[in-house]
Amino acid sequence: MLCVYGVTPATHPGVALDGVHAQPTHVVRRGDFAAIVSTLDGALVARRRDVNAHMSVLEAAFRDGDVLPYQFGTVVEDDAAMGEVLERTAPQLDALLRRVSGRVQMTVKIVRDDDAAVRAAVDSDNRLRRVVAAQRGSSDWADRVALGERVAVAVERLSHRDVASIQSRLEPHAEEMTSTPATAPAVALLALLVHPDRLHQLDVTVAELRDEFTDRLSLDYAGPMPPYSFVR
Amino acid sequence: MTVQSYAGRAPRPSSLADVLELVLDKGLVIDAYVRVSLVGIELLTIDARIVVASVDTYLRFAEATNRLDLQAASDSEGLPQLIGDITEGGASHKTKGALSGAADQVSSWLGHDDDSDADSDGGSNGDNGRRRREPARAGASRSNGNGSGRRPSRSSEARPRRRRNHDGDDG
Repeated sequence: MLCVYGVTPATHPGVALDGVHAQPTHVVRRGDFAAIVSTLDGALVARRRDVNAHMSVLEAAFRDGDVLPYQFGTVVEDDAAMGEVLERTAPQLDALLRRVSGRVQMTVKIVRDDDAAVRAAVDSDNRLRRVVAAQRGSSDWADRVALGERVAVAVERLSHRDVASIQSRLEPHAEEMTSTPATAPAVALLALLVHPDRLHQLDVTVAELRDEFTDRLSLDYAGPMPPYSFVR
Repeated sequence: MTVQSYAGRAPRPSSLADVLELVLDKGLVIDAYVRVSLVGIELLTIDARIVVASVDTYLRFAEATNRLDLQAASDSEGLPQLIGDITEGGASHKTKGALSGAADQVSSWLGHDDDSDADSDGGSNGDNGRRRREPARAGASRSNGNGSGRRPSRSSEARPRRRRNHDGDDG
């Protein structure tokens, strides 16, 4: 079995880097495309080491040109099967490559400081403030859940507004942007497909947003990386 | 892996969970059918966790209100002056001027005005509606058994999602 990393234009030089299970990568070319693959040594599991290897191979390929990342855990039988996949999906690969060619992906994870967000939400809503003042500190479990739910709803609403406002500020610098709900304490994961010429402006905007929301949000900003979020 | 450049950005997301979000949840998929069947199983388990996590989250928020200093802003239209000096266990600092003890009574005076229907609409869900994939043959399949799954996009929840399990801590 082969582990599949990504697809590049056939002209791509390939990657001189070992992949998952410390196996060397090789390239399967068919038509206009080349797939970067490596031999699997046993089952493929999402272990830290192998996930990192998957990413490293894609990053190395990305340094030398465009690459369409496959989802981690994608395997094919052998070189022939890979070639067949390339041939069968060529139109789709071609469209995707046009979409992301020359672009980089940047990600922004918006992380909330809950205490600060509770403060901001309560401060901005007089009615809620009165309810909180009256009901907090109760030792009754149901009361605490009810109050907590009410505050949580207000905090979510505030986060929604914050995320929307951050998105509207970032969007002009991106050709495409996706938003995925996140696991607490993160409130959103944004992925941006960016032309390298716009990268500096994006950097500046992220820095501004960090300042503006510094009381309750932090922005984890990463990239440039292969366009993981823009190949479907 | 978290080397910060001048612009305050890292080359990759810093946590394994964020990396998995990119390489497991995103990326090209050869065999749509296999993925769909995985997703079904995932959603059930994640939904069950959300119910539990919600109560945890509410209690956490309730506790956060104990740490608020409500005196900072004026609230002149008047709660009774039932000032207690309450120290909350586990709170990082003492709550000053907390109104407590009479909580039940005051809340019954105020009534439970219910504006808590957060109909947040979740936003877009990241895949841009571009999922035209044909099922693949040619022996294409996935071998990670428990890995992937799109989180349910529930709208009105406080979104206390927990990450799926993965055995990614061996190195």
